[in-house]
Amino acid sequence: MDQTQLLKGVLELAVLAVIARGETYGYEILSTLERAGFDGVGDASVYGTLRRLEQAGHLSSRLAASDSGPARKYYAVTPSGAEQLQAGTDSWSRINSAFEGLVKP
Amino acid sequence: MTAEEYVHRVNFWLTDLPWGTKKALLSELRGHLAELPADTDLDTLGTPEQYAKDLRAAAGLERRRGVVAFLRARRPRNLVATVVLLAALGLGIGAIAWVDSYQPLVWGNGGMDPANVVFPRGGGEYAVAHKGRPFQFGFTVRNDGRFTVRILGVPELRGYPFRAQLWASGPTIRGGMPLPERRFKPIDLKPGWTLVLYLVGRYACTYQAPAGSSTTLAELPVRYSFLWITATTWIDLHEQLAILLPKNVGCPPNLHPPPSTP
Repeated sequence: MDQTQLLKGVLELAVLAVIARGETYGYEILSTLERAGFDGVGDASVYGTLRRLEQAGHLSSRLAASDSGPARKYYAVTPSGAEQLQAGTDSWSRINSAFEGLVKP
Repeated sequence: MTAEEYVHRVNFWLTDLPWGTKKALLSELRGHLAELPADTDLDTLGTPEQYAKDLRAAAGLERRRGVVAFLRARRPRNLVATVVLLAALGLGIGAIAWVDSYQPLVWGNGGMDPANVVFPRGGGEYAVAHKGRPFQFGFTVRNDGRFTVRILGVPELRGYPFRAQLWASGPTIRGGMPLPERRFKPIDLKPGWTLVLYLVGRYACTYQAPAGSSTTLAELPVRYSFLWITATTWIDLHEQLAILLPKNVGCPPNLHPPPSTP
């Protein structure tokens, strides 16, 4: 079974969760997701998700000068983003519990 | 493939997106590529086409088609420049067409040397072309337009039994027909002003014609210039003038036949 779709399904929550730890930028978000086990998700998917979350008002952004090249775009979670993360986390917990009840004898 | 080439190719696959959206996405991609280690194989990002496809899917950016999408995908500065250029081109073409068709000259009034003109019962006027007799026909040309034009003269008249030179008086803002003052030279005619032109000469056999035959002076050509155009306009005489050869005197057959009507 292709796990990519599963990963993409939780990507929005995962991105919110990373940014909720503190203001950060795209490359750093990707690195954090990789270290956490989300290494099957493409860079384009992450950046596309960041854009969609910002357009929905769940993230805010600002540009800051960078030593290593073009200006970095830093993201932060907005109050609506925090609500979205909380609601998503609750749903995930419910689904996870129900699934564990199915697979465990 | 270099980072800039990769960005350029992704740009191609996002070409239908609004210009601002595309600019923001590509700017973020450039920033991401700048963060990668120098020896990173860009193939790990996927092909530019796949990258663009994944980016669209995650961002919810569907493919856009149609005229509106095409216009929104253009850089605003280029759109404005194109519109300005097209407007200027349209105005330029319109201006050229207007100048080419500009003709403000109208007939003022005219008259023959009174001694020569006959006014028979029933209207009309005619003159009898006695060979060698002085001939003088004056007419005014008025500039009814808003811009000055340059009067260049009257082209040679063919098919009439006289030889004449062009004389002038004025221009004048007042009406009337003062006597001819000088040989004609090209002159500017301002809006509202009139120029009096005279054909001054003598009746002569300029072409073969039988006794009693006639020719009619119904309009006169006036050559003028305005900006870059030079043109000839035919001004209608309010009253046609018939010029008759005497009943018993024609023009000999060894002359040229009368020219065909223009």
